[in-house]
Amino acid sequence: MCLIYFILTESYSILIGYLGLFSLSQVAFFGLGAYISALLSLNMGTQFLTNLVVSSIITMFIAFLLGSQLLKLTRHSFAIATLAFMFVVQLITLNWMEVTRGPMGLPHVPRPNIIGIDILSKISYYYLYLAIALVTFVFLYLVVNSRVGRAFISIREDEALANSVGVNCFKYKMIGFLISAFFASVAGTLYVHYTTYISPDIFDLYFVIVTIIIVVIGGGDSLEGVGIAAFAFTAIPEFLRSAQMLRETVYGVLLIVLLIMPESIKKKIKSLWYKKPKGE
Amino acid sequence: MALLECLNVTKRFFGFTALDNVSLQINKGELVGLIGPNGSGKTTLFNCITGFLSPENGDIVFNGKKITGWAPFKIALSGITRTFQIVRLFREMSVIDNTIMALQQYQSESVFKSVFRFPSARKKESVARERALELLEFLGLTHLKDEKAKNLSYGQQKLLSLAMALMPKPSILLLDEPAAYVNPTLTNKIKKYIKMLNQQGQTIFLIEHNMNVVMDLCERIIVLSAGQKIAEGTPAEIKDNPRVIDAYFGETK
Repeated sequence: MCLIYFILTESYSILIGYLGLFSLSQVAFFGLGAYISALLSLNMGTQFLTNLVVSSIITMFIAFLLGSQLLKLTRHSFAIATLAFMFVVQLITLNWMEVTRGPMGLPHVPRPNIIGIDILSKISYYYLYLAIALVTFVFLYLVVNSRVGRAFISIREDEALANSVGVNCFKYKMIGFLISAFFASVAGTLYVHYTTYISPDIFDLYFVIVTIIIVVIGGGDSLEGVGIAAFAFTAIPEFLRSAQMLRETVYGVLLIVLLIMPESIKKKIKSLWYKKPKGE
Repeated sequence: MALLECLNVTKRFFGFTALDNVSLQINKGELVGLIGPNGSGKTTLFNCITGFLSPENGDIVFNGKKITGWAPFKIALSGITRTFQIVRLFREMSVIDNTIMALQQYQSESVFKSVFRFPSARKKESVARERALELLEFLGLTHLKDEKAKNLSYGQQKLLSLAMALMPKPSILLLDEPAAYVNPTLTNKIKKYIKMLNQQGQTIFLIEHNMNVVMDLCERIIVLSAGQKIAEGTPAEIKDNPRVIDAYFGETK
């Protein structure tokens, strides 16, 4: 679960942290990826890896269509339009009974099977998902530290100036949007093959808020910070299970504390990471 | 042949005519000034040339090509760079990254290659860095190169934005009030830099309110008033032109 959140929020931070695009459709892409994978494996009997690739590509295509219209909007309308997109997807999954079985959801999604090896135990899940998470992290790390990443930041900082130094803002926004949709869908596929069940409940504002919280507390534009936040925020509620009564309360208090002092945490995480001065 | 040419450019904002049939020419190697009272349409003209606004009428021709209505980034890539009246920088980036950023889009390099660190991409990165250091040296900002742009003083920020506009070796440089809001010492410094750049062959088109700067620097001055071009000529001609004096000080009886 941690690793799924890790992939979801890391790719989300590209949008919110680096590009400064307040998109609320990340969970929609997550759910889309999950649904497409579930449908593929239930109806076509395809394997985990095929699902992973095919659903991500379909989701990216949908993101492309969506982005080609929405990325022209101003920031606030963009946020609202992407949220609206999530509700549209939710309504479709709720009402397209023949395909999605509506609110009953899709149960019995098969467990992953890679080249004949069935992934059944928790440990094998862990290693498989860890590997995918690592690939995600390395890829995103390369992206944000290349000129593409710098172009992202330039758009966040000042779009007019980015334009006047020759940055094709629309193109780079689209690249960021597609990358994040792709990995959201990857996370969705991992999710559905882990829980083996998917229902329209996945398109819930709760998930939207949790992912935003993770990205914001992680510092937005630091992949390491967001990664740590993703682990912390999925692990803490689990640890707190031992004190059922206090669980929600402690979680809430922790959240408030973290939100009040996000700067210092960000800096602490950063200073841990950047011990050596950045080389030329 | 003219490097940059505006032909009957007209721009209206909801019925208000900000630019009214403005035509002008800038030749290679020239240093031309654009002056006029507040609200006369100077910045609007710059925005039309750089694609941030598109004029309702008229054409902008650059290097023999019609660039009217192009996207701003495309115009920038074709060789027109600008600075802004109120300094714009990538505030969270370091000084050196700001300058490198100003060049990287000009270096053709595919997104894929740069993400996966191909050698050619790295080489271009170091070329950009060298050019950045050269320019920072020229403008006396070398000691600040690792500082975040937002921590610079206003004057230093102005110099940095000049460095950024110079990075891609533009065919024409548009400066929107390079000496506004800075102290007199720096004004003189900026004047000196502009002069030096022009002597090196840089074509410059600048807006400036500081008459002392414009009169000393420019070979040719264009005057806008209420969206119309009312005069054009050498500093001496402009100083004595009754229409210019009218525009600035009101009707003379």
